[in-house]
Amino acid sequence: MAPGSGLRFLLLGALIAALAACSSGSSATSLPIPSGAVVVRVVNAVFQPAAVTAPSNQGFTLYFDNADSAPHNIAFLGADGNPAFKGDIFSGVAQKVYQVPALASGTYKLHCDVHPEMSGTLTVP
Amino acid sequence: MSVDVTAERTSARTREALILTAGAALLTLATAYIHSTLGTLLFTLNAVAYTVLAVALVVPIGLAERYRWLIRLALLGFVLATIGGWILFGARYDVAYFDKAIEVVLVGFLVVAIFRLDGGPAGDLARLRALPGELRGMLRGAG
Repeated sequence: MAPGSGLRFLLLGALIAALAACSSGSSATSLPIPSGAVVVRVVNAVFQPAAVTAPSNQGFTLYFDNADSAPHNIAFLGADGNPAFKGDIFSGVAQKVYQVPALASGTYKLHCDVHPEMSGTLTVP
Repeated sequence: MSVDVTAERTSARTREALILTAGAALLTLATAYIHSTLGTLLFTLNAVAYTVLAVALVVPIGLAERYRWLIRLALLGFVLATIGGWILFGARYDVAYFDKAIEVVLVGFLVVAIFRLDGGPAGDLARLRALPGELRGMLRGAG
């Protein structure tokens, strides 16, 4: 065995212990859903429901529930790809309630900055 | 007297190698852990690749010890590709900035290790040139 191999074994053991220590659980209480809120959840990196509708010509309450332990946010991208609304990125399990200003009629893409492959649509009639 | 000096130099070199290797492995595991918490297949594969490379950096088996220089090069390429991917497509938020800081320090450790332990880019280039012949020899030996 090469010199320093014993130390390498120790180091390898420490790395394995560090990895094992990294697994942990979490618990959280849910925010209540405000009445009339548009509700969007993220479960396993999927927006649920994939298509939501918001009232036209008026602001609305958005209840965003990140049911994953992974970080997510929600943004509404207009046809030009720019965000008409953008929420903060946060790790779950947690919820946030946003007051979204009135959006112009049209279809917006639901977007997560951390996981751009996630998809969904918001329709404002 | 000269034996003492040589032994001292060897000991200092071993200590330096251990610090560089342990530092790089721990930083690699730290970024692997962060990527493992981000969900989705791409981040999970990234975390797995980082973990495999961290273990390969320190595992005390002959084949890994022989090709440690190649593992360092592979890890350097991988971390630079990960940073590049984030610059192009990644989200800008606190965890991402923290992770990129870890990866930048990791690049520093790897660059220093390549210079101090592997003879610098010239040493790695010479080893890369010799690698195909070496692998052919190993395959012949195994056959």
